[in-house]
Amino acid sequence: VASPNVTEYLKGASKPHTLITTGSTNPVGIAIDHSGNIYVSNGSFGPKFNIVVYSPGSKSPSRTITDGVTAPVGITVDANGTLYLANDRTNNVEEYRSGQSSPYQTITEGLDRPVSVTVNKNGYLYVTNLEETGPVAEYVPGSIKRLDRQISKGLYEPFGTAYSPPLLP
Amino acid sequence: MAAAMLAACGGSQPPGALPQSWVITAQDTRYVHSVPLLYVSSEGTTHDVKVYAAGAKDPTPIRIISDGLLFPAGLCLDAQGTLYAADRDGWVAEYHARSSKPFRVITKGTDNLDFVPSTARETFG
Repeated sequence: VASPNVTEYLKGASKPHTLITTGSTNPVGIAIDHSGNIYVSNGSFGPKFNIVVYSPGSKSPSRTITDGVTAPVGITVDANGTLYLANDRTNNVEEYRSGQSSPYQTITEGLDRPVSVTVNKNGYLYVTNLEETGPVAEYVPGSIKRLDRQISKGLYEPFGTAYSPPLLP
Repeated sequence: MAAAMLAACGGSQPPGALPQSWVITAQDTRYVHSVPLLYVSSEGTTHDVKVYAAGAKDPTPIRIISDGLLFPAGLCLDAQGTLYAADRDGWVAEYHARSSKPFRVITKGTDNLDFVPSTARETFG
C-alpha cells in the first residue's frame, strides 16, 4: 500500500505523473486556486488535522493552516481565493480569506456532518451533508444562513459534489 | 490515503500538439456553459452520481450515472464537461459530457481512495 500522497495525472494519462508526499499525512480533500496553489486537507482519521498549501510546482508545503481545522474533509476555493473547509464531525464550514490562516466566518446552520463543499462562479456555496436530514445545502455569497431551497431527491449519504461550469477555465 | 489531482496542461502546449480529444468544440462549450448543473455522488443505498439543475428548489435529478461506479466519492469537472469520479474502491472513472458510460478508468496510483470527497483539476502546465 502506498504511503499517503497526492497523485497528479496529466490529462488523458492513466498513470501517475507526480506524487506529493511531504505534508500529505492523511489527504482527504484537495483544491486548486486560480494562481495554481494546491490546498490539501489532512483529515478526519489521520494523525494531524490541518490544511497544507503548496505553491505552484512545489512538492513541499509553503503554509500550514490549523486554526479552525477540527475535523477536515472537503475543501474548495472560490474565484476570490476564499478557502472553504467542511469539518465533518464538528458540523461546520470554516471560511478563510485568501492567504489567511484563521477563519473569518463559520457556517453552522443547516449542517449535519458536512463532507464536501463546492462554489460556483457567482460565489454560491453548496455543502453536502452525509446525514440524511439535509443532503445538499445552499448558501448565497457571504451568508451563513442556509437557503430554503435544497437538493435532496434521490440522495442518501451524499458525498462529493461538482459544479458545472467549473470555476477554472 | 491518496487524493487525486488531474492536470490538464494544455495551456503550456502549442495548439498543433494538442490531441484531438483536447479540442473544445463550439457545441461542447455551449452545452457546458448553457445549463448550470450540480453533480452529487451518493454512496448509500444508491451508488451513483446524480445530476441536478443548479438553482432549482429541490429538483429531480435529470441524469443518473452508475456505470463504472461502486462507491463514488470525489468529483470534479473540466471545461469540456468531462466528469472525473473517484471511487473508494480504488479507481477514477472519466465520463464525457452528456455520457453515462466511462471512457477511461484510471487504476494506477489509486489504491487508497477510501475517504476522498474531492478531486481537483488544474489547467496550467
